[in-house]
Amino acid sequence: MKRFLIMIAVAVVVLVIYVTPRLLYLEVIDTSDLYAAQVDQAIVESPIQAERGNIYDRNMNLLAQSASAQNLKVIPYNVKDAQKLAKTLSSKLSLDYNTVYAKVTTIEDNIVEVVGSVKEDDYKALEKTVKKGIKYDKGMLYVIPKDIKDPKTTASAICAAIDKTEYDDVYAKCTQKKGSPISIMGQVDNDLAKSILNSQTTTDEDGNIESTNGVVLEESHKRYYTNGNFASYVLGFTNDNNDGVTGVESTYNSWLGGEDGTAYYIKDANQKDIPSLTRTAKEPVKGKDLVLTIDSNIQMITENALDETIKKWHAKSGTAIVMDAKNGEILAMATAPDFNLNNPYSVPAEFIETHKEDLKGKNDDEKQNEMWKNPAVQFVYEPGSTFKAITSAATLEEGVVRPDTHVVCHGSMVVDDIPVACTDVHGDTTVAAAIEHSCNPGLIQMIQKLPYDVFYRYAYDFGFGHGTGIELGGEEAGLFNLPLNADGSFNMFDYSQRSFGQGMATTPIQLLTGLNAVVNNGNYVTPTLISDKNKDIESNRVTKPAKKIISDETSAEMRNIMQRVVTGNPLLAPDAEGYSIGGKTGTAEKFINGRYSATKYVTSFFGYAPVEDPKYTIVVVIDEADPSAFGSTSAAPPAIDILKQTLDYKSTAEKNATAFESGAVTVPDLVGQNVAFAKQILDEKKIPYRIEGAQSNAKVLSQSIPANTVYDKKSEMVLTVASDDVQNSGKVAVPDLTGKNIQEANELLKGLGLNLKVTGSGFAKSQKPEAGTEVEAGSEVSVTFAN
Amino acid sequence: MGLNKNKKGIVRKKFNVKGQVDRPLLIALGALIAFGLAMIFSATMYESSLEGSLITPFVRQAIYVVLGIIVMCFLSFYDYRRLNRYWIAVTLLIISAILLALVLFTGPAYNGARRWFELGFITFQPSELAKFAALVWTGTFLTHNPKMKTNGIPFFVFGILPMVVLCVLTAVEPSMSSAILIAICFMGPLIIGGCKKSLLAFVAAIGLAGAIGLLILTPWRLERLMVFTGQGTTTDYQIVQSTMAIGAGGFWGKGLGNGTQKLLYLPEGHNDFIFANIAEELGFLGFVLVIVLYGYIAYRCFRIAMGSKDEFGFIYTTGYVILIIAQVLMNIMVSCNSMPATGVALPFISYGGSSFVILSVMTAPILNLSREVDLAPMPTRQNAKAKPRRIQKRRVTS
Repeated sequence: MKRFLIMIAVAVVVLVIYVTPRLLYLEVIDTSDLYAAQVDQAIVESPIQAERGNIYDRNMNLLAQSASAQNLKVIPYNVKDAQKLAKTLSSKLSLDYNTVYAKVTTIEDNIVEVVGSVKEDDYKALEKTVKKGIKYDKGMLYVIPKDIKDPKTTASAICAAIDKTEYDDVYAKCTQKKGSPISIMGQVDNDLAKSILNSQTTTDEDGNIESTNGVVLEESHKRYYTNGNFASYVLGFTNDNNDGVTGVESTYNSWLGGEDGTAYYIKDANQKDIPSLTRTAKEPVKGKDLVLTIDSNIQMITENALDETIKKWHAKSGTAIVMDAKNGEILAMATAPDFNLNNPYSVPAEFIETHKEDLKGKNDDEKQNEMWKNPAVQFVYEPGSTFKAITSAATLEEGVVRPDTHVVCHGSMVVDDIPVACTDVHGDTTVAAAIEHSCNPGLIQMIQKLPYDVFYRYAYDFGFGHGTGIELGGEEAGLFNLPLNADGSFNMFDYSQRSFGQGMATTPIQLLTGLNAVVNNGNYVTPTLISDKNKDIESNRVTKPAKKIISDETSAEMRNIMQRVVTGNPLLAPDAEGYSIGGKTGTAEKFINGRYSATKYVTSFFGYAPVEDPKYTIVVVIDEADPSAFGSTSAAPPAIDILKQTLDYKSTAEKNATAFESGAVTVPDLVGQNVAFAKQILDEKKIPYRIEGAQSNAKVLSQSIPANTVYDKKSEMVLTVASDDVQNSGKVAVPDLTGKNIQEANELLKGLGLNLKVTGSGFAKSQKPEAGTEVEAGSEVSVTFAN
Repeated sequence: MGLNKNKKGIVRKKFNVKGQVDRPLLIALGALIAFGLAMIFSATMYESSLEGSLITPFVRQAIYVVLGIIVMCFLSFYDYRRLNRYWIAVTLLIISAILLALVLFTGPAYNGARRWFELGFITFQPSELAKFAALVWTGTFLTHNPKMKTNGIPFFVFGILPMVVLCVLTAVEPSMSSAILIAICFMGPLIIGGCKKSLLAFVAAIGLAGAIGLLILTPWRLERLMVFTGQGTTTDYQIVQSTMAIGAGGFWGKGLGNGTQKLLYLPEGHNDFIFANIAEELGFLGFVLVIVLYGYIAYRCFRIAMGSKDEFGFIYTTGYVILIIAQVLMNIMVSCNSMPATGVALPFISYGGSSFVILSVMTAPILNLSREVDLAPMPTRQNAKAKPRRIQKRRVTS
């Protein structure tokens, strides 16, 4: 008995001092590594996409919203019947059968465990016969099926070299299909995605799901931009991951994006998901809504005016920004040509045509990137004469000149032996007249009275040479170097040409913000796109208060001088009649490859209204217009037009605030959208509608009220719909355009997916093809206009 | 020996129904078996759901458990003293040896080893039978031939020689763990039975030399040992998965049925590595529960052994306890990588039909012995009063 008890005691000692501490160590003290290792091998973390917040304009018109959709993926390892799957996917999603088949039968490119406890020598021997597709790590033999060219030979070689292996098993592993999901298509409509899933699902006799033939659906969201080609550069768009790529979608990505939730999928050692063990660890939090300072009506006015202008002047592109002079709120920011946010990856023919030099030799990705650049903040150009307002403001404020100070212009001026030409011979004139007539020698004489360091402080304060900080990505800083030679000595010529905006570069938003301060009683306000209706948002509005650069008197002086740019110009004066509008024109040769181009100009115009107390400021920049264009002929007219319409709209709005606001609904672009979705949008916007045509699985073919027009409360929207197949053949009836002006005709045709070819001007007199003719969507309707 | 000629006489003496089996032991065994079934169900439920067959490992085990319990109940009436006969010991030993030799040639190779017979529905591991044979053999020879405790020749001929035969046959399967356990089934009773220390020391020395020799002869064993000591080149997949399971369990465990290692990650998760599954799902508490149950069973068996009126009963029962304890410790230590990897089942818990039945058979003599042992509480002062009552009660029932 004593011996027995000794043996028991030994066992107890082993238990107490060896086994128990070991277990305590593994289970209680140092569990984290082991737990992490287990999580690594068995648990797949998968994000649940949060719904993105909506984007509204300042009047709470919906500009962007999210709709639920599915990302359709396939796990090739779980595919039972690849042909059936590929057939269904290719027909339902309009994809190429062979591409889909290749995707759903993808071979595993990761390592697959074959057998453990393999001796290194055995592996080295095996390595001599099998060169590719095998891997060895800590006794475990792996194969990489994708790298195996001839699985039969490889499998038999492995079986010959390594004990404890069976040919069938090894062969299966050598040809194993990919175990992780492969994306087939992102953002598939819910109904379609579910019907595909159901068609591939097989159940056992108890109704339990046996297999989905590898199909996996992942909840996602599709971004829908109410008006398609509208404020494209401000809004931006999102990618398949629901992340903003450009515009405020990108800068306010985390605000709009919300917080993705997390789901944990548990998979077994064969990489098979176990649906019953899926847990939602964190529910997604919907993103917050974003209210912009953009006013849809002003934006629309601006876009239409720009479209017309670049067509008229055959320009490469045109950019316009309208700002609230007092607080820097951007009311409109437009560029033409633009792109459709609902289809941001397709580069429109118009853009390819206007930008063909920039796009030369570029691949599709680079072309898209080129198109997505927002000229309002990324177009760096020499401002030319518009910058004279800065020179004038600085010299007047410093008192080195007064508006009636005499300057002399002989049609040119020599500075440091370099002649500087003027547009005219202005003779003995005053500072005020020099500014009004954009006289280069006059401005040179003004700037030469000011030490360059003083002038540079003004330029810096007005925002030149550094970004404004507007809430958009990729803003350029411009260029504003000191007028110094390479050896550091002062360069009078360089300094002198700053006076009329040469040898420096700016962006449209930078110029607008700087000149806005000149007319806004010298108060520099930082431009912002983010409305104060957003609570607790980080934006320029809060962080950067107004900064005073020049006195009220100097500012008033400048406003009066610049008013005469408009009123004194026989072309512009009639345009602006009845409105109090001032401005400054600019025409600058483009600086290309180290020299000024004789044929490529940037024409621009800065405008403000009303002159007495500016409420709105605008900049219009036209890039590479017809060589005959000047700032006063190409950029000023649309700018004045936009200011006039804005003033009209705002005064009406102020008079009858509520009535206008409820009526101020811009009509959404619904062409090509699902009928159900179109209905939802119209319901939200409270636009009455009627639907014509077969409704099942249908898409909108045309809409009776064109997109982007302001909706008046009386009319009913008629949506012509057709099922997908019909739409593919794409027949549209040409509408009767008689009596419509160019803009109306264009909008009407755009709504139907047709293109307008303009001849003449005035009102439509004849059209080809005739009204009622059925034509392919996308074809051209040529219309002759006459007064 | 002559008793079995007179059939009428035998019936009375063959079955000993005088007393009642020890209830606490029975309850503890029942709890352990039920716990084992639950764990087997948990460990195999995922794999079974994949295979879809109705005869799941759980159902199979349940059938064997029922069978084993019936056999155990029936044999608990069989007088344990009748085991103490040369012919039974010799027969068991010879059958074991023959089967162990046979399995080397006819058994199916599994991971390069031949350890069991596949007889259609069941598998049978002869090394399990050998353990029983070893306990019976040593018990019988020590009681009938007390000279072997002191005299070297009978000690080696009757004690060590059969052990070497069985151990070598098992070791070449190869199954080192079974060989060690069979050796324990021989050496335990030899030590407890009172063999001379010099003889035992000599055997220990030989055994040590043999173990070292084996390590040199079979390099993969050395490799496993190296792995265990952290110097090896391979990491045993099972051990990695098993420690991962234990670590993931934490103190409280993930809850019964909630383990993830059984999702085909942990091979033999219902068998040799069922402890890993217990630790994952029930945590450190699961370990404590297992130890408490085995400890209590060992304690009850020890009490029964103490009450035995003959030497055979004492030696057999204590030998049995040593075997169970050794098996439990080895199993747990392998699972948590505290000793080199080797396959040892957790008695009464691990999956395995034939081993469960043999274990039941091995337990039956102890239950029978408990019928005639007065297992009143230890005569301490507090329990002194309880003693008469217990006796009285037993008188009434018998």
